[in-house]
Amino acid sequence: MRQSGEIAFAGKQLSGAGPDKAARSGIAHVPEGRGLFAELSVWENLRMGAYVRGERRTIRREAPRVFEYFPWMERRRDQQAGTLSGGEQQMLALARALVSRPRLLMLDEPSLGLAPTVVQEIFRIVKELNANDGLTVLVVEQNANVALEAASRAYVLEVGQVAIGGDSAELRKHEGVRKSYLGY
Amino acid sequence: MPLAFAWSDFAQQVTSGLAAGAIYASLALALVLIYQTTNVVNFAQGEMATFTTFIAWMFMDRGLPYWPAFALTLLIAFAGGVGVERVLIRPIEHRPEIVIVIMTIGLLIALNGLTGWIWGPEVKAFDSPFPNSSVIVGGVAISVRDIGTFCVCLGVVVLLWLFFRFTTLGLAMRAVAFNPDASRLMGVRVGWMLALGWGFAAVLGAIAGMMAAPTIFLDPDMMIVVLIYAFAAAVLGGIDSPVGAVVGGLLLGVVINLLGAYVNFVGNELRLPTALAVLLLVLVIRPTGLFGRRVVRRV
Repeated sequence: MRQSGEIAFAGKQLSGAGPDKAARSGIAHVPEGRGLFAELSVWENLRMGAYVRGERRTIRREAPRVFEYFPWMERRRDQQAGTLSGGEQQMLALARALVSRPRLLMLDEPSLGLAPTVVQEIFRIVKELNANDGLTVLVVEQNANVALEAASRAYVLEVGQVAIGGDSAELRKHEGVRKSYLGY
Repeated sequence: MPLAFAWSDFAQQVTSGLAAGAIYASLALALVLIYQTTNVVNFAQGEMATFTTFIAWMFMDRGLPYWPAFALTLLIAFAGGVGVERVLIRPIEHRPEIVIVIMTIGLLIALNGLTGWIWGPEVKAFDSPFPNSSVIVGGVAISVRDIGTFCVCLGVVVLLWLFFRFTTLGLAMRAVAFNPDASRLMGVRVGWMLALGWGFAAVLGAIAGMMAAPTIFLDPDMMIVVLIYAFAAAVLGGIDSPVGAVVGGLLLGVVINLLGAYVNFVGNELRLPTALAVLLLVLVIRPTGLFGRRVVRRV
């Protein structure tokens, strides 16, 4: 496959570098399917989130903050991650990404396969993180309703090209977007 | 063949079985460490052990005392294991597993030839740091060498366990074994974790080699049989389970020793086929071994 163009983050070239390099430059990526360590405990998963910034120091500082958003995690820190419910796993993946104190949080299809109430809960927390901590979040999401409500800017991709982009409040009013993605 | 059953004799067979088993356990654990990350059985594990044991012999031949030679050998083994992964395995790590298996077989043949070429094919005596005497415990004579072998092998196993359990690097290595892609997203340099795994495996092999050599003597083929025992032990315990490898090794050591001593037709000659029979039986009846298990997973 021919590739061209470049990927840069905060002035640093990432093109051609592996995902580990992207992580070290401050990007936390929650992949589709969550990418948890199913065999490790909740706590060990969180520790892995801290790895990139110096595990011991970082987990001690960041764990209390994360437990404020997800109180159940503290009580169940020794549970094997693979035995959590789908929604809990998505929250753990999110929490693990937060522990690394990212400059950019990327969420790939966070609503996939989850009950609507869980999706609401996750997006509520993401919005809070953005509002309180000023965390930059990039979400790829099929559920346009939820995504447009949470985001300040939005882009519609069609076959890999940006078809429409702009302020998400305006996008919600856009007739094409409304008909094709919001369903009214 | 003893005419009457004697407890002291039985206990003696068990303890010497445990010493042999600790050696199998070390080598089996080395196999499991590599299997967990690279997903292949490292057929060169035995020859890597032999090669490093010869290096230890060379140091002692030049007049170095045992323990400095031992420590120096472990360092060289570690560097060698890391080097093997970086130079030989890394270029083919994304190829089908059979390619990697063939590479380890190639390494087996190359190291075996190299060992014979450098140090010659003749059998050499290898010193043990432990005296060839015994202590009497509760009427049972236990060989000091057996106790020493057991303690060294199991001591290293415990150190490794502590490393994997309580250090950040150990956690990262476990994470890589379970999910390399997610580990990359966490900023882990996965390639180096694999190399570290090979380094630890080489260290375990070197210990197994140095502990086995005083009894079975040093020659380029000395670990071939031990590797088969270790392989049987790893499969018995579950090829993906470090705990299983250790328990499997000890169990196999004791069982083989008892069978050799008490079952007439097994004697000394049929020990190896017995190990192979264990291997086959496990694969047929319980392919996951004693401790290998599927992870509980909810989606």
